[in-house]
Order: sequence, then C-alpha cells, then structure tokens
Amino acid sequence: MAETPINERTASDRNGAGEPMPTSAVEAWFVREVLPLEASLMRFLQSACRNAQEAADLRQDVYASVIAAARKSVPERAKPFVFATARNLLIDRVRHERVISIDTVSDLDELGLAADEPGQDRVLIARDELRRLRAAIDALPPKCREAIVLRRIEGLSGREIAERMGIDESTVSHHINNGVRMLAEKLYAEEPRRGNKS
Amino acid sequence: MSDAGTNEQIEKLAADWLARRQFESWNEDEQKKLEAWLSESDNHTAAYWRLKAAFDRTDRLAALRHPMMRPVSSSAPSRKPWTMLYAAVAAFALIAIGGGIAGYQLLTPDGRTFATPVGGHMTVKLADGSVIELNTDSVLHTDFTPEKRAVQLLKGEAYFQIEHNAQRPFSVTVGDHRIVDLGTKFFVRKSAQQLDVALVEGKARLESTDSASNTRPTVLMPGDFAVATATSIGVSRKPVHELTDDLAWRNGMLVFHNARLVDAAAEFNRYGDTKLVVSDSAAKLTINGAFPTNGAGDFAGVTHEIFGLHVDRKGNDIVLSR
Repeated sequence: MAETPINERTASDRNGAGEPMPTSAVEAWFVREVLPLEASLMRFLQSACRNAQEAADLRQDVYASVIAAARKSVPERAKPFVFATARNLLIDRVRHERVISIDTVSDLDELGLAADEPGQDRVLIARDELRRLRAAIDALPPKCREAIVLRRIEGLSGREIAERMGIDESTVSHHINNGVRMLAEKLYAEEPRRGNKS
Repeated sequence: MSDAGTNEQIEKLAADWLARRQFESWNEDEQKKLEAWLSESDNHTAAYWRLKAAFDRTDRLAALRHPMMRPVSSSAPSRKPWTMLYAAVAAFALIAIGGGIAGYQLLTPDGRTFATPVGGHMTVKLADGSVIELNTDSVLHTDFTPEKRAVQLLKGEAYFQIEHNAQRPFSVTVGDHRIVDLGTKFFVRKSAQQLDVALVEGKARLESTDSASNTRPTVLMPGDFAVATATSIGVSRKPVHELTDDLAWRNGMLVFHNARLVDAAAEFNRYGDTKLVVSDSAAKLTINGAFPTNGAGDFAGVTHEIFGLHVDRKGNDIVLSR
C-alpha cells in the first residue's frame, strides 16, 4: 500500500459504493491512525471503568468494532470515529450493567471529544521514537528483553535465541509472548509527540 | 462483542502467533492457520495487528544500527594476523554458532585453541558440561587431561560457567595469574596492563603463578571484581546488576552507566573495524544506555542528538567533537 501523506483527509473516497477495503489497507490505516490514539483512548476508558483491566478489555472491543467498520469504509477522520465508538460501547455496557454507572456516561462528552484536534497526534519524530523504543525495551524483564533484543536487533531466529540463551524454544516463545505484550502496553501508553505544524 | 476477560486471552493467543512466526518452523501451513484465526473475529484481528505493529516498530532500532556507515562485515570474519599465525600449524574449522559471527577452532597437538575475530562471539560447550563464551578478538587454549582441565586465555575476554569437579580442577591461566575454580560462573578479561576477573556465582581462587611474586592467593566471592597487575591484586565489589551489564556482550550488547565518552568509545572499538575517536573536549561527557556491540555509528548519532557533538567520518574513523 502506498504511503499516504500525513495530513491526508480522505482515505476512502472510492469507497462510497460499499466495495470492501482490502485487509492490508485496513491494517495500514489502523496502525497509522488508530493505534497512536491509544494513550488518550485509554485515559478516556479508564475514567469510566473500575480498573485498568476492564479498560484494556474495552479497548480491544473498540478496536474490533472500528476495524469491522473500516472494512466497509475507512472513516475520514479517525479520532472522532474511535471515540464515538468507545462511547457507544460504554453505553452498551452500562445497559448490560456490566461495567460502569450511568453517572459516568453523562460526563463522556466533556471527557472525550472536547480535546479533539484532528491531524496532529500521529506525527512522530524519529529521534523521539528511538528513545521511546529504547525505554520500552529497557523496561522489559531481563529474559523477555534478551529474547526480544536477540530477535529484533540481533536478528537471530527463535532456535538461535534458544541456543544462545541456553533455554528451550517453547521458553523463548513464552518470553517473546510476554515481551511483545508488555512492549505494546508501554509503547502505546505514551502520547505520540505532536509535530510542528507544517 | 466478547465477554470481559476473554480479550485478555485473545491477546495472549495473538502474542503466541506472533512469537511462533519468529521460528524457522513457520511455514505456509502455519500462515494459513493464522489467517484462519484472524478471520474468525475482528477481536482477533485487532489484538494481532496491535501487537504486531508494536513489534514491528522495534525494527527502527535495528535499522539505526549503522545509520551512517556501511555494515561492518557480519558473518565471514576477515582474516586477521592470528589466522596466519596458526594456519600453518593446523587445519582450522569455522564454527557456526547462532548464525552470527562465530570464531575458529584450531586443533593442535597439545589441545584445542579457540579464537574469535573482532566483533566475534563464540560459545564453546565442553564435554564436562562447562560452557565458555568468548568475546570479541579473543584467543583461548584448552588443555584437558583426566587429571586437570587447564585453560589459557591468551587474549581478550571470556565468560566461564564451570561444572565443579574436585578430582579434576578447572583453572584459567592469564599471563602470570591463575584462577582456580571452586564451582562457579566468572568472567576474565585480559588487557595490555591488567587482568580483570569478576565472579558472578560460586567461588574461585585467584593466585599468581610467578613464584617470585609476593601476592597472596585471593578467594573471590560473588560480586567481587578483581584487578590484577604484575605486582598487585586488588578486589572491589560491584552490585550484581553491574556485573550483569558487564556481561551484556554475551547478548551482543554494551551497557554504560555514567561512562565517559572516551571509555565508551574504547569499548566499541574492541568490536569493530570502525573506530570511534573522541576529541579531548568531549572525552569527559558521560553517557548511559544500551547499544549493540556493532552500533558504533548509532552511538555516534546519539551523542550528536544528546550533546550536539559533531560527527565526522574520516576513513575508518568516526570523530566526535564539540
């Protein structure tokens, strides 16, 4: 899929007719537009949920729902769409008395959408990204870090990592499994730095 | 939508798929299974895409390993003078370990010699279960008999994990000093002026082999960091995590804590043909962080970012100055 300019506003002009988006295009959009919103999305969800785990659970549902929608047509602006989806899911959960109180939902407008500024969040600065990646990797438990570093930085295969660390392959797999989940948690928890207006 | 709690399991499954893809056994069949799993639910897809994107982002670290230089030769080690030295004596075999740079093993009449080129790293597993890891630019000779296990570190640095056997003691000789294992993990580094020995686990004895020397044998305990010169043995203690960081080379990394730039540069210079040169004006700046051993160029880039140093390439040198 071709790179799209940072401030591109319409990802899906050709999609009015209901022709499904190719999966690769949806993934690229999801990674580029939706994931950078995770820090603010989590703040929004956590303010409404009882604990971080519930918020994380809800986040997955938000993503699933956003992806389902994007398969039909990629929303023009990601942020309002993601937050509207989050809000609807929260209300849905309230109806099922699962997570939160009605009081909480009444605050949603103030919480979520007031700060909406399209087009800025996703601009990353390379050196900032580098520091962030290092910090996230440094924060991993030693074995996880070792496995991830050997894989991603040293480029060793799973079997080679097992040899190098003197552990079996299933343990390597386990370390990568834990490592990647912690890495994601850490990387997305930080607000992407806002770039200069250009 | 899924039940509360299930998403956590889905995330674990997604991470499993991602982990499995890192192994050689990944094939078309597995890929089809993954695609089938993804198409089962958008929750699966969401979890997988999210983790994969985070994992993919770490690519940038690898990509930045050589931001301003050609990669240092990564596999086939170039012939160094020492290969010439030994080539006539014995046939040598390239030991490929871990797919990366390995080293050479030379069979000589009185034992075996292992050597690594600059940037090399080799793990030697011995029949008795002991493991020796050689760092960059190192030469080690083993001489095993039924009575003893004698090792000589001729050059460089090695990490030892020794299976203790009182009937068959393990000793490492470095110049005029000998370390006798009492069941342990330790590392030894030989430089021009001195010998460093650090004990990670167990117990070992450090003694002089020079009968004229009046230094007394020293028993090393975990955390002990001994510096031996021709005339003295000094022992200090290091927190275990610092010792572990000193061993980061085993994973192809260098870790610095408040290291002076000039010292950090000297460390990098042990691993590659590209040499970092730090001007006097910048020598005393201190830096923290973890870098791949072959990341001298990346390191130079970081000093530019953090301290605003000028980075100039001159032939094989990278000059850092204010």
